[in-house]
Amino acid sequence: MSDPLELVAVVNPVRGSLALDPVIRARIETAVLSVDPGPRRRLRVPLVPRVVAVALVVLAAGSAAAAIGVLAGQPSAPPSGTFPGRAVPSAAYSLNITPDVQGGSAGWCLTDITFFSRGGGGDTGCEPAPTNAHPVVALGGTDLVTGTRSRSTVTGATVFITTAAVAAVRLSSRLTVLTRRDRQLPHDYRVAIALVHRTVHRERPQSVLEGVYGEGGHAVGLDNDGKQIGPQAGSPLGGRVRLSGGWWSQHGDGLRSPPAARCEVSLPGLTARWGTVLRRIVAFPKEQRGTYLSCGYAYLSRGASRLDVAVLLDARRPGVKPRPLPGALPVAGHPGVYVQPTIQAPSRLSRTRVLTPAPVLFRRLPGALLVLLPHSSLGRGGLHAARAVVLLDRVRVCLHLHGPLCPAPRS
Amino acid sequence: MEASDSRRRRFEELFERHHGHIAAYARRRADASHVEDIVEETFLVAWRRLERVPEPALPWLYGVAWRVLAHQRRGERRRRAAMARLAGERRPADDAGIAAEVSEPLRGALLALGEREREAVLLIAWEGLSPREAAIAAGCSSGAFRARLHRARRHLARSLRSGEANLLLAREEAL
Repeated sequence: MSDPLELVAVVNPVRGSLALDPVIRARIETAVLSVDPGPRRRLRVPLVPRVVAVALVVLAAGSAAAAIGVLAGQPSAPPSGTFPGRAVPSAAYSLNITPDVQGGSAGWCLTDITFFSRGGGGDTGCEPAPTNAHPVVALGGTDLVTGTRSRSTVTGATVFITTAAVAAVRLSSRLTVLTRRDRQLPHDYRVAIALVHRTVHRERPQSVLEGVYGEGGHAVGLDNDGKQIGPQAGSPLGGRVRLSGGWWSQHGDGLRSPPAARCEVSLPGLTARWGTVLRRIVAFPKEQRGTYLSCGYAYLSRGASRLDVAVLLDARRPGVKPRPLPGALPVAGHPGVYVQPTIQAPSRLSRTRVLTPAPVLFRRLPGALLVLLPHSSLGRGGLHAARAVVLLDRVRVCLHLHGPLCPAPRS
Repeated sequence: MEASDSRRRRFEELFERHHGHIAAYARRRADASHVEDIVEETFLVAWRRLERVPEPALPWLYGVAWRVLAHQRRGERRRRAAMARLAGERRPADDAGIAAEVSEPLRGALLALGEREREAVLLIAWEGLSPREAAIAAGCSSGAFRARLHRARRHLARSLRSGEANLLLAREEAL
């Protein structure tokens, strides 16, 4: 008989390396990089010296705080992780932030994904981007209720986005959360994610969103010295951006044809259901860098597949080539196309992929970003992201920032 | 900031260079639906322990992927056993850790080997590693690996000759 290892080699099911789908590859890479690598080294110190070392650290920290007035507060939770406490051991959360694509908006949206052990709810939503005048915006949150009828544990995650000047968000006299940079947001933004855990002794527990998010409405930004910056997060919008967009719809009761506008998007083969477009573009020079202004949006469908398609401009200087979405990676074989993979919950808990929204895909145009958000959260009817890359290549865009408007598409 | 940037760059380079190899490694041993998870968990370990990843990194990554697979299989085994108990059935056959595409009689012969011996064979025959590289992946000394491979080769040859593989398979099916 020949060498048995040679026989085994002959039946090798995969020769060489295995090329993964570029979207999947990008998703994996981003999911891994979003995890805090944690302490690099673990020092093994005997117990007695360890106690002495801890005491020294506490003393040193105390004296440093007294000397320079360090801002106190708990660190922001990461964008994906597990809820604290033993009450919900298998519950993970994953908070995704994407640009607001509705025509006329310059803001951000929260997509939360929660893997429930017994039940819960979420509050996704879109808000205008924070500015120097309104530096803290409560974006939304999610909560999770577990327990018995008489005693419930409620865990909530609330998300704030802020300008770079905000070092912490104070939600109440007892809770201040330090801000952090997030790879889903441009460099000049920060995020504060507050996780709150409460045990309630009553039949109908108050949602943490009612409690904490209510408090979130009163949240204020603090600078490095602990001084308040700007008004409360729930203050009236003031001068924040939300241009009135022309709305159109081609289904349901209120039928209205798409008007001529500054930006039009269409995708042959897909039905345009409804959308919002701008007829007048305004620059917002006081916005944070990296803020997008949506000048045209359409909701398209074909069978069970659904897509949001939008044209995003640089809100400060419309017509200038906008920056790529933060955290985006180029898609191999499709020049100019990028994917911003979805932040995932810790991998051992991410088996329930049906709840996972599809990654954001976009193409860089000379003066805009063409953004496509496939709806994969519809389960089997969802659109696979790899197919969406191909669809992105076929989207037709009209972009007239000045002069005559783009002609209204034929219905 | 610079240190974290260079750390990130090093990881990206590592991922770019080797994710295809780890995906292939996973696919040779598991169903296609598990490949994504195994690649992700392997590189998650690499990201956390980047300072300890040796050069060349691939054998070390194979070692991590093997432990990830073993962990996954143990979990799956427990789950299936629990389901079988609930259903009042006997213990189900174990997931072999070999792609379903590998046909008989070789599949049975590989199944007849112990887990470590089987991995020694596959690292050489499928991943194409040298014994020294495979020793790194297996987490043992080069000498220990050579001894393990020698035993595995002998058992494999004997198993193929005697048709023990078919017997084992029949026994598993009967369980």
